[in-house]
Amino acid sequence: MIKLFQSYIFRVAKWPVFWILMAVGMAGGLIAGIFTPKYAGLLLSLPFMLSGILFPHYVGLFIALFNYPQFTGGTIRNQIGVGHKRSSILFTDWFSSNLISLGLYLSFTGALYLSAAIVGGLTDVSGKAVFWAVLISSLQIIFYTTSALLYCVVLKGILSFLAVYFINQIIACAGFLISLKKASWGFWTQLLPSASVMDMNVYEPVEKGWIIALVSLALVVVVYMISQIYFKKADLK
Amino acid sequence: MEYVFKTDGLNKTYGSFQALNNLKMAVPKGSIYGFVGKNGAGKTTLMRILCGLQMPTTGDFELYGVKGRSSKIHEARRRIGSVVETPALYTDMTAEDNLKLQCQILGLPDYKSIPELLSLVGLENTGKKKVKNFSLGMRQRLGIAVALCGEPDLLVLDEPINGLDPQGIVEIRELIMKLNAERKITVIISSHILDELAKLATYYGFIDKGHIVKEMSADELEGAFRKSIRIRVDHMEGLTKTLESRGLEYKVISETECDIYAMPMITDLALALLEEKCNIISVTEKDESLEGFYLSLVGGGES
Repeated sequence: MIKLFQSYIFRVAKWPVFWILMAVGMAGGLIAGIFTPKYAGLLLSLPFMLSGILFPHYVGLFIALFNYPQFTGGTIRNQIGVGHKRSSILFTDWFSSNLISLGLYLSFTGALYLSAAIVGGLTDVSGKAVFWAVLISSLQIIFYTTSALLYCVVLKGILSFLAVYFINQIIACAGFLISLKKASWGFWTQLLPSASVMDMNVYEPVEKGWIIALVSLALVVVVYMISQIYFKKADLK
Repeated sequence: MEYVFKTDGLNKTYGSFQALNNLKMAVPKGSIYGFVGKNGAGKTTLMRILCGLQMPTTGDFELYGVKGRSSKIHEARRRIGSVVETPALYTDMTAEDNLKLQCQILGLPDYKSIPELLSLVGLENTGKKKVKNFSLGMRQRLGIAVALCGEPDLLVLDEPINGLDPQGIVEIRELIMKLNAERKITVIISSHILDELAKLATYYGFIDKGHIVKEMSADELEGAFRKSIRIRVDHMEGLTKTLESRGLEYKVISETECDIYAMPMITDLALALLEEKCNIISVTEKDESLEGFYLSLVGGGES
């Protein structure tokens, strides 16, 4: 598994799009930290809102351009053909792509907080609130990454590519819309992907954050298990 | 004889289509095993199963004595290098980076073998050129180099000369023969270009409708070929009359040419033809081709 992980990181390091995404994320974070108005907690809620709005796109781009060719272009044959177990291959891909997705997200968030701190925008921030917000938004990103990988594994060719890029956006939009339309459901709409992070404010801890985190984690586990079960038996080209 | 790969009653179905039908084959160690069959006969399916890309529906196989359904099959597969259908390459990387990546996947401690591999397949001067800018032949050769990473004992090549120009075909052929002779690598190779396969293979497996019709060594195949002579005359009627009177099997090719499936004494034949006022223009010895033998086995159609 370590061999596969090393080869994944080697590929990422050689891939210019990753560095562009990383640079855009960090630059965006720095600029947002300096220029976002410092009122109403908007600045400090920004990373969490973006994890539900922007990062499904980011993750879609990353998986569609980087992981997708491996499954559809056939390079996965080089791993299976030399004796790597399918379960190890998928786990490594899942783990590595989550690491990269979270890396992109946290570099944006880190850059934003750093620049905000420099210009004096970080005051009265509750550490506990930030912890829950970062945890939940990270789990959201892991969910979107896991879900994108499922489309790579199950669907083939251009269908897979389109699914990787668009279905996460559809899930995110559905989460927002249902939470807006069903305001009467209150807390329960927070359990939908992307819906919870739209309502985060780092001045106060997230209400019942552990339930949201557990539900997000459960979604990740279910989607990941579907991928593993399918991939274990699938005929590959 | 020691075998590196054996199958026993292997079946693979896709819906109602049976790709492999009770397939039994054995690949001798050290051989170049030419896998001959029509499109859809099951060649690629078998290679995919061997490489772990697909699972058999029923039946099993043995790779280096390890059963295909055993948990140890992954270790046995570490001894394989393969190019199934198209070379599996990262097109936005250089040849060297593709090989480095494969070294990492295999867990090799260093990249020392890469210059030698690049030189072996004639890609040592590609430098920073990305694979997406490579010709088809270069990609095929790089695919073989990737397959050779980790010094495999068995090389599986599915149509490795498809789409190559004549020069490329010769290069790949020489490379395979060199690997087999110098590194003692067993090779399983399929190709539609049967004449080319005939120049390489030391052992053959003929497959039709997912079933091995015949397996034989190149020597046995040569013995099975029907020898013939092609004779060119100026008077076909005289020739056919003479051949029939002598009970020789023949086939008229044109108004002046005829194949005789026997080795008659040419002097006797010439004297007999002279009596029929038939002059011999030329006589050439002819071997039946691999293609001809294959067609006689499976009964024609697309090969």
